[in-house]
Amino acid sequence: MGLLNLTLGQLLAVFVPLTGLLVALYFYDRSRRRVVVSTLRFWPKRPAAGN
Amino acid sequence: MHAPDPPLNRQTLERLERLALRWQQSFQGLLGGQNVSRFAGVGHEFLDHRQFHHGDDLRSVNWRAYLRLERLFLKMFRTEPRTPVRILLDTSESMACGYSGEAPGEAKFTYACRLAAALTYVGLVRLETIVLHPFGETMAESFRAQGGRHRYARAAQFIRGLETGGRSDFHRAVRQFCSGVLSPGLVVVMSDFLDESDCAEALQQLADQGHELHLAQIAGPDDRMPPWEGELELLDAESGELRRVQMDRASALEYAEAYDEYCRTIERAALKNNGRYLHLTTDVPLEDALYGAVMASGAVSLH
Repeated sequence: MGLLNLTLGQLLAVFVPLTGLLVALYFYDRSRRRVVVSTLRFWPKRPAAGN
Repeated sequence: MHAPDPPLNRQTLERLERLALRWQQSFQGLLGGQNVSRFAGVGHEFLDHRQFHHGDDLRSVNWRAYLRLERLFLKMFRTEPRTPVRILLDTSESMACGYSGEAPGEAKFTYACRLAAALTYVGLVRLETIVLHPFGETMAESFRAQGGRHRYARAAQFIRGLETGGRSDFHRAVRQFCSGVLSPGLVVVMSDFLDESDCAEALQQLADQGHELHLAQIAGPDDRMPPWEGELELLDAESGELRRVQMDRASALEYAEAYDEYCRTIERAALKNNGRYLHLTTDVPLEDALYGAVMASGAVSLH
């Protein structure tokens, strides 16, 4: 096993934190953002999916 | 949110000196001001003749006509009314929203305060009387400015002391305004008109009392087209109500359509009563708006 001439341990040491970061960024992007708005009058009344 | 300090800088004030406020109706009022009235009264400009009646001022008799016709005619002069220009300024919490800081622009309240200061200065330079009426759920304490440009500093100080807070109830505020202000005149309303009550009905009430309406609907860049996407938790700035929505391009367009339709309702309320309507977004610099959209609407003109 010699991808990029790294051992399995080195490969995991590089890619595991990177994958973790990407997953965290994905969940951050998918998380609800709270926004203060002037009025709710024009916003759709139907709830977001998953509620 | 607090009002800008100072509302306008010296260079802006100097440029505003070329402008004058304009309105269409004639109001019975005090002397002074720049707008022509159809009412006869004390003035310099000749308006018409009428038959002399017992008790009329002999100084106004046209003696030349008497010598020729042997009948007494009275000269009438066009009065120049200094009708109080009343500026209703929305100070509700929603005026602090609509601007996330990502795009160019400023908060609606800051913009409205600067616009109110600009119109106050323009009016004072032309010897108009300006009354500032901040309102939220009810009318707050008003401020009257008159007597020329040197009175602007006190008006600016009053504007600087304003801050946003609480809910807006335009209908209730207008009822209170109408019960306190009996003489009709020009009423300039600066608001986002985004409260839960029926603003169109309240505007009709103002027009029915004889006021000429000039509406400046102030909107932030985010008010018409929300820039957010994904799952949002929306918090109403005034009521504190929470709503969860899934925002995408289609929802944004649906929102913009509903917003535009509402703006048209407000516009119709102004236009059907011979008033004026302006939709001002805070990403347009105030001076550009004054010399552009506001002047094009006829609410101000070069003097």
